[in-house]
Amino acid sequence: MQEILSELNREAGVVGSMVVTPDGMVVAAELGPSLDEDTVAALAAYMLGGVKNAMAMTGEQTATQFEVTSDFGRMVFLDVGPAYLVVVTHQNVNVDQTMIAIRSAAYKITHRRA
Amino acid sequence: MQCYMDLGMFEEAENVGRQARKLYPLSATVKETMRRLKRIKYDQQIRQLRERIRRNPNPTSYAMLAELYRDIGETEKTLELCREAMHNFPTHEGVYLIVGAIRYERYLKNRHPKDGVAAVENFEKALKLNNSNYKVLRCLGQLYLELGMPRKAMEKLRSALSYMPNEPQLMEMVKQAREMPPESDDDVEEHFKALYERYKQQAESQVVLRFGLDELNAIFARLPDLEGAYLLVAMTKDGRRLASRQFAQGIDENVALRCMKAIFDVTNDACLRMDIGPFVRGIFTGKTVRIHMFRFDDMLVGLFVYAKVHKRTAEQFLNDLIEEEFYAYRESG
Repeated sequence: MQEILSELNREAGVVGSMVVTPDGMVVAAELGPSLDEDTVAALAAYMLGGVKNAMAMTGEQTATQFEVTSDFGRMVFLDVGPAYLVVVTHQNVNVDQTMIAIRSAAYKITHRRA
Repeated sequence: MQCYMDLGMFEEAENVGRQARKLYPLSATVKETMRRLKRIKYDQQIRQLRERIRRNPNPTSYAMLAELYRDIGETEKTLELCREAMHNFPTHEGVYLIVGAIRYERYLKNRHPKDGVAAVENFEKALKLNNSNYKVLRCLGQLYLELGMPRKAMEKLRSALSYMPNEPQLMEMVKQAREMPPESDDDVEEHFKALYERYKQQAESQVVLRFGLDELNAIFARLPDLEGAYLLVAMTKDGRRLASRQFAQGIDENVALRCMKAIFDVTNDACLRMDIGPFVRGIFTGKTVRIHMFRFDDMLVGLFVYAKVHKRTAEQFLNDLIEEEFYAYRESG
């Protein structure tokens, strides 16, 4: 899994990636020097819980994917079974191109597990 | 802009781009075109500097390359490069100044304590290496004054005055610092946090909206139908409804408002704590519903669609709403 994340991080604009369970347990992480593993894991779990609860209000049982763009960065979450692939990117990345790489990584993670 | 770029008239294209950015700060098209223009403009310089760093790394080349990336708007790349330069050349002031300036710009934009503290730390480091930078002395003096730390402010402002003894604004700041009661402690972070709380309270009581409710409802009413969409809704960041347009039954408006507020609260808070600035835009996909959300000034707009609707179609719908309705309205208004 570490290899998959390292490969993903070589994509232009990707700052770091990790696989984390909804309760914040880190399965694997490859984060750049600007990101602290514990902080990202805790905040990813916080975001996951919050977004899932909010979407449940509309009757939606799960959040399969979400992307959040802020003033200076972007975070992408992708459901990979019991955990989520979390990717932090620069704010100006080519979204479509990066999404292909992120989906490909998510596919590999899901199928390796299976 | 694009025409000038096609003709190779990059200076003219940049001038138009600057005007456009002032008028339409949230326009994705303007932002992207401007970034592309600068990429083309600096392409050769970037290659040369990269090569120079590879062959003979030196702090000046690092600082020049970081400045170019900063101008293109690639903040993260700039910060990465500065981190590398700080590691290799810890006694060169240039990169501390660049990081300090980036964090100061961010601080002015969102007033978040993390940015303020990082700006101060980097400026202070730069001053330790070279105490004669007037701009940094002045900037720090002003920041300390704003934080209610007159003792520290005086230190910097006095040094700045020695370079520009008759600068009226500087003299005014010195006067203000003299009149303030001295700070009880030197904990810059705590002062920033206290200031942030004051800004937050002030911002909550002053919601900035470009449109009246009638205008906003009129804009929503004249939007074309979007196949697969349930609801378009606009609200303030604290959850007050502004306008809505129901495309199809399926999502209750009050539920949508609560859902958007909950999503905004959690994502905005997490982004700020992650140090990547406040929430701007998001797409949240479930098995049956997808929510597209963006922030426009103090307003949040959410589009609830069936999850199978193409993501790009919904995003284009919102981009058109921003560029052809929100900005166009401001122009005519």
